[in-house]
Amino acid sequence: MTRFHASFAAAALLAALTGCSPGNSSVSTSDTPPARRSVEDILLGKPYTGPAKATPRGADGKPLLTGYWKVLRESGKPDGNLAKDEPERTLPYTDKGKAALEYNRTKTIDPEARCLISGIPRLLTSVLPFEILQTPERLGTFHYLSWHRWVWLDGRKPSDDPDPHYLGNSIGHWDGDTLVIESTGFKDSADGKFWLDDNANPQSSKAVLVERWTRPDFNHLNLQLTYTDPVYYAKPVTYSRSWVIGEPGEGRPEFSCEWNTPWIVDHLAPGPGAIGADGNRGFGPDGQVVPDLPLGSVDSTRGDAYWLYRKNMPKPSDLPTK
Amino acid sequence: MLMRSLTLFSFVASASLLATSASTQTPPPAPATGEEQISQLMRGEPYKGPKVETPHGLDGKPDLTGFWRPLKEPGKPGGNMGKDEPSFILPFTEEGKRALIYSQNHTIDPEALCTLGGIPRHNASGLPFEVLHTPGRIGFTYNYNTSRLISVGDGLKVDPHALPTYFGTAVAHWEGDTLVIETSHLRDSAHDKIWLDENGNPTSDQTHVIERWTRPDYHHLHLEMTITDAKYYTRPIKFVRTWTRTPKGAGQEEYACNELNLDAGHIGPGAGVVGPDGNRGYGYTAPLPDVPPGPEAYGQ
Repeated sequence: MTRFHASFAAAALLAALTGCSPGNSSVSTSDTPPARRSVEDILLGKPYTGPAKATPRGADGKPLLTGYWKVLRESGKPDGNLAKDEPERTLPYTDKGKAALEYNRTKTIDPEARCLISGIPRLLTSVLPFEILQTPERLGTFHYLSWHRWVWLDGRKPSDDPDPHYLGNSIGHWDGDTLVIESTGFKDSADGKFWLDDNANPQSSKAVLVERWTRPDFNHLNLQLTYTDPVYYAKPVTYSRSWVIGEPGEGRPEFSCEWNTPWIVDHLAPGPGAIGADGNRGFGPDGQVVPDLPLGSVDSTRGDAYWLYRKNMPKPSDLPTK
Repeated sequence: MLMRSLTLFSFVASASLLATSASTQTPPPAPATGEEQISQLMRGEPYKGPKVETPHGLDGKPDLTGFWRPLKEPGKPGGNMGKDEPSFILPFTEEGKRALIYSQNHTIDPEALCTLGGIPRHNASGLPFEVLHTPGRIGFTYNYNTSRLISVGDGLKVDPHALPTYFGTAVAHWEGDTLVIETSHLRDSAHDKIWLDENGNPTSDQTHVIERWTRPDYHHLHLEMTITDAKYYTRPIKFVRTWTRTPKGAGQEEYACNELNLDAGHIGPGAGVVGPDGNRGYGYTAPLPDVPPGPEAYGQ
C-alpha cells in the first residue's frame, strides 16, 4: 500500500518541481501563477451555491450547452457504472448479456487501456470532466482521454444502415429546451474491443441510446439517458447525471494515449479488475475516485502509466529501483 | 517501408469512412474509384460559383465553423512545410540538420503510430479538418479522431511553466476579422514523437507558431502561418494555404486509428524518400493504388 501513496506524493512533487498545476489551467488573464489545488478540486464539480444565472442561448433561442463540465458526484453512487440507478446496481442482463459480461471480464483487455476509442455511453459515465462545443448544425463532446464525438443538429434522418462505430451515429433535435440525441450503429462487445462502461458491461450493435440534455441555468447541465439493448439487456436502462460549469480558464487538456498498446496487449490482464462494494471501479488499489494528475503520472500528458494503476498494478514509478 | 503501406492504407480507409459520412439528406455522388474517389472526398475543388458572403457567429466575427478540404496548389508539394521555400528545403541550422537526420533514421512517423499529430503539422496535412467555432472557444478536429481546443479572448496569457504537448499551449484573439492563434510549449523532435510536417522535418521545444485565419467568403478558409524555431531553423518559416467548404451535411467521422499502433514494430523510421518535387511517397498528384502495394513500389 505504501508504494501507492508514495507514488501519489511523487506525482505531487513532479507538479511542484515543474511549478505547474497538473490540471488544465495553462491559460488565464492573470500574471499570477495558478494556485495549487487538489486533484479533486481540479477534476470534480462542487455544488454551486451562488445566485442563479440565466441559461445562455443561441440565435435560434435554444439553450447553448457549450462549456467545460465537471461532474457532481452523488453520495453512495459509483462512477463508470451504467447500473448506478438500477435496483441493487445490477443491470437486467439477458442470458446472452451474462455471457457477454463474462467474456468481457475474462477475455477482453480494457479497450480504453489499448487506446481504442472509448464509446458512448461509456464516456458519459466517466468521473472526468468533459467539454461541449455547440454550433447551430453541429455539436461536439470532447472527453478527457482525448476522444470526441460529433452530433448532427441539421434535421437529418438516421441512416437505415449505419456503419458500426465506437461512438455510434448521433443525431440531435430539440424538444422544447431539451436537446435529444439519438444514437444507433454501435460496435459490439462480441468483437472484444468495446465496453458499455468502465465496469466491463457489454454493449451490442443493436443498442439504441437516447440522451436528453438540459441546461436549466448557466451553471448546471443535466443528462437523462435511456439505453435500450435487446440483445444483452431484458429492459431499457435509465441513468441520470448532473455537471457544473468549470472555472474560467479551465478546459479539456491534451492527453495522448500512446505507445502502450503493444505492451498492454501483452501484459495487462483481461477485465476491469476489482470493483468496490459500492460499484465503483475507482482508480487504484487505495480506492481513489479520481486518478492522479497528470494522467500519465510518470511522464506528463502521456497515458503510459495510467492503466497499470487502474488495474490495481504498480506503475513504473512504484516499482523498486534496480 | 511497410509504413508506406500502412499510411496509404489508413488514407484509403479514412476515405471510405468519409464516404459514409455524407448526409442522408444529401446523397453522395455515385461511387467513384481510385484517385477520383480520393479527390472527391479528401481534396477541395476550386469553387467557381458566385461569391457568398461570410457567415458571422454569435460573437459577430466571421464564423470559421465547417468541414474544410485543402486546395491543391499546382507545382507545390503537400505535407511539406517548405512548400514555399527554394527547392522546398527548409532553412535548417546545423542543429536542425542533425535533428532531421535523427527523425529520418530513428523516429517512426508519429501519425502512423496514432500519436497526436500536433501543430503545425496538421496545417500542412492533405486531409480535411472540421472547425467548431463558439464565441470564447474554438475546436479543430482532425482525421484521426484527434482535436485541439483553444480559448479565444483579449489578454489571455499562457502559463510560462505549461508542460510541453503535441498541440502546445495556445491562446487566440481577434484582430479585426482575423483569428490569431499563438502556440508555444510544444514537444521536441530530438526526444519526442513529433514532426514539423509529413516529411519528417524537425520541430523543437522553442517552436512558436502564429496562425492567422480568415474566412473571406462562405466557401474559403485561409491561413497565413509563421513558424519561428531558432533552434532548428535560421529564420522564420512562412506557410500559406487555402481550404474550401464542403457541401452542407458532410462532416468528420469516427476513425479508429489507434489499432494501428500494434504494428509499430513493423514500421521503419523516417518519412521515406522525398522526391525533387518535395513530395513524400506517392506524392501529391499521382493516382493512389487500389490496395497498399509492397515496399518495391516505393523505390526502396
